[in-house]
Amino acid sequence: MAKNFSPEEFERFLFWLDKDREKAGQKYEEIRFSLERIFYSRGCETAEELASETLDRAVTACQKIIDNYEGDSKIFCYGIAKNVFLEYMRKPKLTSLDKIDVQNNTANDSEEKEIIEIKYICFQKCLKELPLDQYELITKYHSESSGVKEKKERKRELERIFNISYESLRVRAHRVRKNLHECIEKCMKNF
Amino acid sequence: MGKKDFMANSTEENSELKAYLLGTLKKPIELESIEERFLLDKDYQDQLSFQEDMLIEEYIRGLLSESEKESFETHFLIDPERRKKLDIFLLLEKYVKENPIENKGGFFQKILKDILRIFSKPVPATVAVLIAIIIPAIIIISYYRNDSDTQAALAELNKIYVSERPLESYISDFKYAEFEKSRGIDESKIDKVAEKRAEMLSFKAASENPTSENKHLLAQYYLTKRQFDDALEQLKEAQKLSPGDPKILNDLGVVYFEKSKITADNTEKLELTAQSIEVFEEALKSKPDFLPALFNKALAVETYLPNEAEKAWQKYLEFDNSSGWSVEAEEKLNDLKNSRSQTFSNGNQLESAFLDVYDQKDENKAFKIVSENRELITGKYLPLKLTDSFINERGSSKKLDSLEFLGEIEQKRINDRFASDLADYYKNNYESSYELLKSAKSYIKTGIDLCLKDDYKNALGQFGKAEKLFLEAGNEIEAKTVNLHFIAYCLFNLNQRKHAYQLFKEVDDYCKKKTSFGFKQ
Repeated sequence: MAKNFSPEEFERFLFWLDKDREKAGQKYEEIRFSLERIFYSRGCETAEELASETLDRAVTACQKIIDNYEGDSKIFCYGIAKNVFLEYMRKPKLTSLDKIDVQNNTANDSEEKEIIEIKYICFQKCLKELPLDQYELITKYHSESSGVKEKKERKRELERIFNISYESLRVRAHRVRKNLHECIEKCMKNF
Repeated sequence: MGKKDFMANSTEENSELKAYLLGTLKKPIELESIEERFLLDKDYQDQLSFQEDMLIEEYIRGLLSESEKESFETHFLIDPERRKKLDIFLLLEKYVKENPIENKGGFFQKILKDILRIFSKPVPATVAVLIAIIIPAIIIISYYRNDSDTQAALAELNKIYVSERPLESYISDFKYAEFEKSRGIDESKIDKVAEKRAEMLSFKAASENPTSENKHLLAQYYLTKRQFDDALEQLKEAQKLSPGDPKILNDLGVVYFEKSKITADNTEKLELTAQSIEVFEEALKSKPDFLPALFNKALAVETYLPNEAEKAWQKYLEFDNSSGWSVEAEEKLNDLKNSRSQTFSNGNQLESAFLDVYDQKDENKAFKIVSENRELITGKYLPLKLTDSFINERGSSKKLDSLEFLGEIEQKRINDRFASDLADYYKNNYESSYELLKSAKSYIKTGIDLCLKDDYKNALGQFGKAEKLFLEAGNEIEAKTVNLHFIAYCLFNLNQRKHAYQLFKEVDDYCKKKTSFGFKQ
């Protein structure tokens, strides 16, 4: 879709986000990512489109207020996002039948198959690359145990092995998964 | 808040975040407050990310309530980033399940290390013998580990579809479950974790050990997901490795048949159905009592040849009279029998009933009769029956009038001009072409009688003569539709299927060109 703003206006918007061009670019992407998460959390299936729409509108809307606006540019974008969301809610939604595109679905499915295969390879690679302590923590954390009693025992055992509370262990496991996630994403991009 | 203090949050705050993630937080103020913090506060983003993980963990471990589970599946997982997180959880669960290890490296690395350790020392004869045993053992264990993946994936697939099957067809090795024809499978009832496991296991088995069995398994996974082209690719490869395997052939037929149901192109639909029947028959050649192929053949035949379908269901029931599949087969057979008994046993009865409603000018009843009776081969197709009688009775005006009446109704209700075009033709050409039409009709009647005796070869000759006469009489409508359809029907039954498809397509094209009457399938 054609944008309703000029390259100069876009540059001005970026400059407003941050005077450093590189940091402004990063911030732009951060806002987009956050907006997508927000739209998804509100149940919008087209979150990515809505985030783009929000940013496009923000570029135009900010031109008049840049010099006087006080506050965080992210909140400015968020205000626009709320309007975009309301418009999205008011629009009639496509029926599920209309959404079906057999041809495209088939193409996506085959792509998805390839992605899953690559992901599996990357997962194994990234797991092996983890530092030993992280590897042990994550594999032990995810080891299965059935029954209430066994689960309690497992928690105690993990606390003993790693010498930390189970709650802290959960936080650490979360961080390891985050590292794993980043590694897998990177690996998949370079595949 | 410090970066490492996720757990220091109050239970209330965590519950609020959980509700936000599940989409159950209703107050706009709370919603906006979370979102603003999320935008501005990096730590809060981490906290939310942590809560996402906790929610995924609760889901996997079955700790969510039914309503939470539903929100998780329908709301939380909309976000592709969260689906990626779920994938990582599942991959980890799967990994630790398969590698119950004490040290990094896993089962095989451990054995390999042991072997290397042995090799690093001087090798006494007894050790060499042991190595000779260990290495083949590893290969065997490896094979069975893959085999167990295959079995586990199949078990998961059966588990997912225990209450409702994904396709109307009978997939090889699948246990019976009902099929909801009107709405398809209820996705919300699917155990998403089991589905993911099945996906992972089947991919793993097929990529690590691409045997025909594992490729077949992956194809079955695709089938359940209705990814027919992917399934086809795997099945063709599996077939190359195990030609003649009835299970693979059956599932190949399933792909064709299920594809035939979703394609909008009538010709393609017909070709795919015919292809599926051929493959089911091939499966039955190598295993005549193979239940899935018997079941599926009956299903496929039912689409175009209801009379043949009765025989096919009866055949299935000869081999199975106790499973859920047999109950379904019995229902199908009864439906066919009932629908037959609701119709008329011959064309004369049908015509007589129609003329009664014509006298009463009852459009609804007339339309019902004509809609329910469209069987050319048994003479129970009113437009043709009425023209036959019109000719036989030397221009009976009642027959022509009733045909016009029928034409008006069909044109009005289903935009089908076949009967009215036919009535126009007979009205304007009856006298000049009477002899030609009478002979053509006579050839058609003989042709049909021969078809009913399975003498398709001679029937073909009769229809060929009829075609010539129809064209001579300027009756393109009957020559290019009904008569050509009979010729194609004979060719189909004489196994000249390619030629038959071409002719069926020609009939269809003619109908489309006229845009009046669609080729009813």
